Amino acid sequence: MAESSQQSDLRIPEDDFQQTADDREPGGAAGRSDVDLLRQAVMNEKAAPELLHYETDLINRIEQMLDYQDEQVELQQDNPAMEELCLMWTVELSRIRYYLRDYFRVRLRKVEKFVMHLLDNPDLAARMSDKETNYAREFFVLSGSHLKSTAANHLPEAFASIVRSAGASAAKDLVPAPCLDRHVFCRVLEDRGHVTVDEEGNMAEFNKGDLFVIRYQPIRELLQEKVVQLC
Amino acid sequence: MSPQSGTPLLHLYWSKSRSHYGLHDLSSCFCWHLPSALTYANTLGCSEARERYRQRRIEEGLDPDDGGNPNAWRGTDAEASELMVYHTAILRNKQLLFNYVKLREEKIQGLRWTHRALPAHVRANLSPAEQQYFRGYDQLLNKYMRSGRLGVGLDLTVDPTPPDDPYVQVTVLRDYGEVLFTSGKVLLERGKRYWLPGDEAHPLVMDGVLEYFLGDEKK
Repeated sequence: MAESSQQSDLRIPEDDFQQTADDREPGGAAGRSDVDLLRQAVMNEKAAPELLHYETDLINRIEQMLDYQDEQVELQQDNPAMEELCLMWTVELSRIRYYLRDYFRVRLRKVEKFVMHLLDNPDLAARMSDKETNYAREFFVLSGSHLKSTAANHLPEAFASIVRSAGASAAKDLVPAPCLDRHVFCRVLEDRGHVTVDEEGNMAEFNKGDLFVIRYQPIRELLQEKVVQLC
Repeated sequence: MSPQSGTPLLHLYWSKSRSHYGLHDLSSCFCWHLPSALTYANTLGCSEARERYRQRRIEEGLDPDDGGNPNAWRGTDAEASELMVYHTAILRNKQLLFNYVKLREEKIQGLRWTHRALPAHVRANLSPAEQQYFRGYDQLLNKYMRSGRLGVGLDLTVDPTPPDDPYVQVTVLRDYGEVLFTSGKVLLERGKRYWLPGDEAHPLVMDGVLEYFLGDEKK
């Protein structure tokens, strides 16, 4: 394992499972490999009810490393001495690609589900990458026009909107929005002391290594600061 | 509420809810008559309410077309409740209709993720608008997955579960001809087994040309 880690910058993901909590350096993201961070991003994305920020830097780095490793495999392919190593690299590549695909898949599903909500709020729309924003706009046009032509156009004009239930409704109440009160499991990465977890002001103590089952709403900002991770 | 407009609404509600539960395999045909019949019932309800209001105003000696103060309700309580009934009925129909269409939309999207082209028996159950929706969604997804400026460069439908091996063993289900993979040229003939790169074999598995071979069962 040491030999391969000298020759490639990516650690084989199986290593992560063997690593104990003591090996992780304090401070959250520092000292963790990119693969670990990607795996964390995928888990966060899967557990969170809303769309999280797109990890531009992380994804760019991972894609660069994938290309680099692809090249290495191709260069060494004719060399019979390196055959086993090539195979290991290919396995690693396919597994890391699986994480990447999963990340994009989960995000795409959330974009499709909450497309109207995301396009309406600019600060939420900033969480999508450029390609996802493009996709969201076109998907909205596609599904909106389909809904309109099959259903909304057959209703009386006052009710024909796809965002409001009736013309007189004050708010856009037909827009599906994520439920932020869903409970999630979260693990704390840093000491934070007392944190307000309720509208009534109840506090809970967030120490490193704690595991909570908590509503998503109170830990939303902590998740953005990477103080907690969802599992 | 006149009996003529009441019964079709209820009938459609029940047929709609039954079709709602039976949507699992998209085995129900898209009900062409549904939107048009609902339109009839809705507009009938609306126009009846409007007619009643006009009659009432004529009786009172007022100009029937005068909009007047929109906040003041000059009808009787009975008319107010009649309008409420129509209003809520229309809202309920709208909700049903939208749920139906959206549920079918979601299923069509799901089909794109598991199959690359629609099988014939499913296509027969979709209305032309929905077939167009499938094509539009297909194009949209392909654009997102293509490499280049707008795309992500990865085929996202591959690998729904974590892969064990970069290569998979597949059985060929029907003759397909010669195909070039990164591992070399392979002639796909029915009944033969090959080791192929997983990424590239997956689209052919989705098309039905190949089948994953899970190993001989030894008893």
